[in-house]
Amino acid sequence: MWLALRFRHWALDCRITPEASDGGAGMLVTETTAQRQRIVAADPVALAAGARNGMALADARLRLPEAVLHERHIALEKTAMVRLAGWAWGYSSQLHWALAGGDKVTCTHLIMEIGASQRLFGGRAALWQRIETDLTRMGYRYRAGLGETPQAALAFARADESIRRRRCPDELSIACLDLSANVRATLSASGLRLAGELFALPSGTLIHRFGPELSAYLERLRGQRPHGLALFRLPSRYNTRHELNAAVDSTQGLVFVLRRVFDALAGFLLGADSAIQTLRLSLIHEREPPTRLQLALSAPTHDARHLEHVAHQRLERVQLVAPVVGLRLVSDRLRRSRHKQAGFWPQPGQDNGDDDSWPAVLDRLRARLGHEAVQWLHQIDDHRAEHASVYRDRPPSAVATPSQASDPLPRPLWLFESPRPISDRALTQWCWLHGPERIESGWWQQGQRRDYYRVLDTRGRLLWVFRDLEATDRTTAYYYVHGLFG
Amino acid sequence: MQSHDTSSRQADIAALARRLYKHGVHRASQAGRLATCSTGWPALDRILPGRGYPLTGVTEWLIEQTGIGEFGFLLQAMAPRLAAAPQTRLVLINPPHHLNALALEAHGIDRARLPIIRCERAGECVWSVEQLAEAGGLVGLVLWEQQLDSAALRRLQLASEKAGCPVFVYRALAAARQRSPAALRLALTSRQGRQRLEVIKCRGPAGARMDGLTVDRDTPWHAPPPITGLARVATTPADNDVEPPAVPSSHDRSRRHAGFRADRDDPPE
Repeated sequence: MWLALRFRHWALDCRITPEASDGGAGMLVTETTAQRQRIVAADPVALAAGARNGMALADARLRLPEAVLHERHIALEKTAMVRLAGWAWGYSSQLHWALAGGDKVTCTHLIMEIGASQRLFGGRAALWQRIETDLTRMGYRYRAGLGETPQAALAFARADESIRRRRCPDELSIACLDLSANVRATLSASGLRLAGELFALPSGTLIHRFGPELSAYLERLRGQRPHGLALFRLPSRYNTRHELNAAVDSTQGLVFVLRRVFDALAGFLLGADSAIQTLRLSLIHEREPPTRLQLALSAPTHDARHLEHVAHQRLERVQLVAPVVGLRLVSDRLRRSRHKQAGFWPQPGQDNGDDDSWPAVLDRLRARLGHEAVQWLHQIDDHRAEHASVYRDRPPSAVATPSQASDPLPRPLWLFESPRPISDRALTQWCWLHGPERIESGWWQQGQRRDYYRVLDTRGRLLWVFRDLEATDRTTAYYYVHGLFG
Repeated sequence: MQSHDTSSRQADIAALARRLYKHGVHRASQAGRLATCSTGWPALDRILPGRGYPLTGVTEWLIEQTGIGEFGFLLQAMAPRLAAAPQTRLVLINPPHHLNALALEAHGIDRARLPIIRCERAGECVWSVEQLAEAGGLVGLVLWEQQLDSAALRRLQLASEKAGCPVFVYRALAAARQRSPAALRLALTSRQGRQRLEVIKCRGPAGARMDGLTVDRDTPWHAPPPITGLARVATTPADNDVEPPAVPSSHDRSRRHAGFRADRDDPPE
C-alpha cells in the first residue's frame, strides 16, 4: 500500500513567512523558462484572486498588481524535501520524492510505502490521522492518494474525491495519469477517457503506436512490473536551509522563525530516529557575511526543543548586524538515538542519579554563560604545580584511583595564577612551619628550581611559599607566594 | 564513679523529656528535626542542630579571608558523600583561585564529578544554581559570591530545597552584620594557625563556638585532639540568643565572651 502526497505549491510552502509580515497582497513564485516567466506556486490570497500555476506572470500581474514575487529556488526546495523525507522516514523506509520541473515531473511529490507500518501505528485510519496532523502542523498544502503501486497512488492523488475513495485504477481518468502532453492529446483524440479502456488495449499495439514507455508505465501502474523508482536514503548529516519571505530585523522576531525551523528539525530527528550533538546555525543576511552560531551540546540529543532553547539562550547574546533573510543549519553526523530502557523491575536508587537532565542543564548553562563557563580540572603529570592542573571543557576520563602515595607532602587547594612576590618585611614576621621541599623540573621549557615552604602568615592564612633559586640578580624577588591551603 | 553518675542523670533527663513530650513540651535543642548530613568533624556535629549541615538549606560560611582552611573543612563532609553515590556531582561556582588537582586528589575527590562554573554576575550565579537544582543529582553546591542580597539567598534556599542538596556560600566575615535567610551561618576565623568557628545562626540554639582545625609541621589543617570541655559546651542546651552556652566552671567565663580569641585556652587532655 503506497501513499502519495502531491504538493502543488511546494515552491512557496517550503519558505517561512515571518509572523509580522502581512501577506494581504498575495505571494507568487515564478520560474523563468525560455525567457518566459511563469507562476509555479501561489498563496491562498493569490489563488482566490485567480492566479494559477503555469500562468504567465503578466496574466497574474493583471489579477494581482500588488503581489510579492519570489524567484524559484530549486536548491531550497530540495533541502526542504529532504527534511520532509526525514520526517516521513518515521512512517516508512521506502520513500521516493521528486521536484516539479521539466516535462517529466509535473508536480512535486513524495511517495511512501505505508502498508508495512499500518500495524505499528494501529491501523490505516490511525496512521493517516497522524500523517495528516503532522502535515497540517508543518503548514504544507497537499493532496494525498492511496494506491497499490506508487504510480497508482500518484494518479489517485490527482483524481477526484469519489474515484479516490473507490480506489479502482480502471476508473482513473487519463488526465490523472503521468503521460506526456502529446501522448495524452493523441489518446483523448482517439476517444479514450479512462485508464480501464487503455488497459484493455493490446500492449503490442500500444508499443507500436506510442513506444515502450507508455506500456511500461501502465504495467507499473497495475503492479505487473517493479516500480523502478529511486528510493530515498537518509543523509549522513542534517544540512538544510530556510528562506524567509520577509526579512527579520530583531531577535524577538526570530523566535517565531526558530520555532518553525526547529519544528522541522524535530520532525526530521524523530522520523530518522537520530541524535545530533553539534549544530551550526548561520543567520544569512542580504549583504553582510552570515552570523554563525555554534551550538555544541554536551551529549547527543534528539530533542529539538532543547536545541531551540539553547539557540535562544545563545541568540540573547548576539547583536544582529543586519536583517535576517535566511537560516542555514548544519549538524554533525547523525547518530542513532539511544532510547532509555526501563528495567523490568524498578530498581531503587536509580532515580536520584538523573543522567538525562545533566547534559541538558549543562547546555543551558553554557548557552547563557559561554562555552568556557563550565570546566573540569585535569591533572597532567608534571612536577611543577602550575602545569600539573589545568581546566578543560570536558570531564577527565575515568580518573585513576587516587594515588596518595605518589605525593606524600600536602599540597594547597588554591594556586595563584601567577606567584606573588613577598616583601622582605613580611618574611621576618611569618611563622615557617615546614620546608624546604625542592621542586626542580621543566628544563625543556623555562626550567625552574624552587624550594617550597609552608608558612603561616600574620593574618592566619597557611601559605605555600617558594624561594626561586634561579633568581640570581637583585632586581627580581627571591620569595613568592604560590598557593593557599584553603 | 563519676561516669555512673552522669549516665544515670542522662537517663533521668531522657525520662523527663519523654514525659514532657507527651504533654507537648519540646526541647529547644531538638526543635524541628532537620535532615542533615554529617560535617565530617564530630566536634562540629555535636554543636549543630540535627548534627550536621542542613540537607535542604543554605549554609553560609563567613570567612575572614581565603586560605584559612575553609574549603578543606567542607570537603571533609562532601568527599564521602560524593564517593557514596557514583552518579552525583559536587558543583563549584566561582572559586576564588585556581584549584589544585593534587590537593583534591588527596581529599579523595573524583574530579570528573566536580564541574567548575564561572559566572560574571551574582544574578547569573543564582540562576545557575536554580538550573542545576532542577537537574538534580547533586551532593552539594558551593558558591563563592559576595554580592548576595537576602532575595538572592532566599532563591538559593528554594533551589536547595528543590535539589535536596545543601548549598554552601562563602562570604566575607563582614557579611555577618547583614541579615540572612540562610539556615545555618558559620563564622570562621584563624589566629596563629588555629581556627575558631562560631555558629552565628542555626535552627535551634545558636551561639555555640568551637575550636576548629590547627596547623603544625606535618599536616596543613587537621583536627586537634578531642577535648572534653568542648563536648560539654556542645551538649548543653542554650537559649536562642547571643549569649554563649554554659561553660565548664574550670574556665574563665569572661575570657570566653571575648569573641574570636587568638588562641585556645582549653587545657589539653
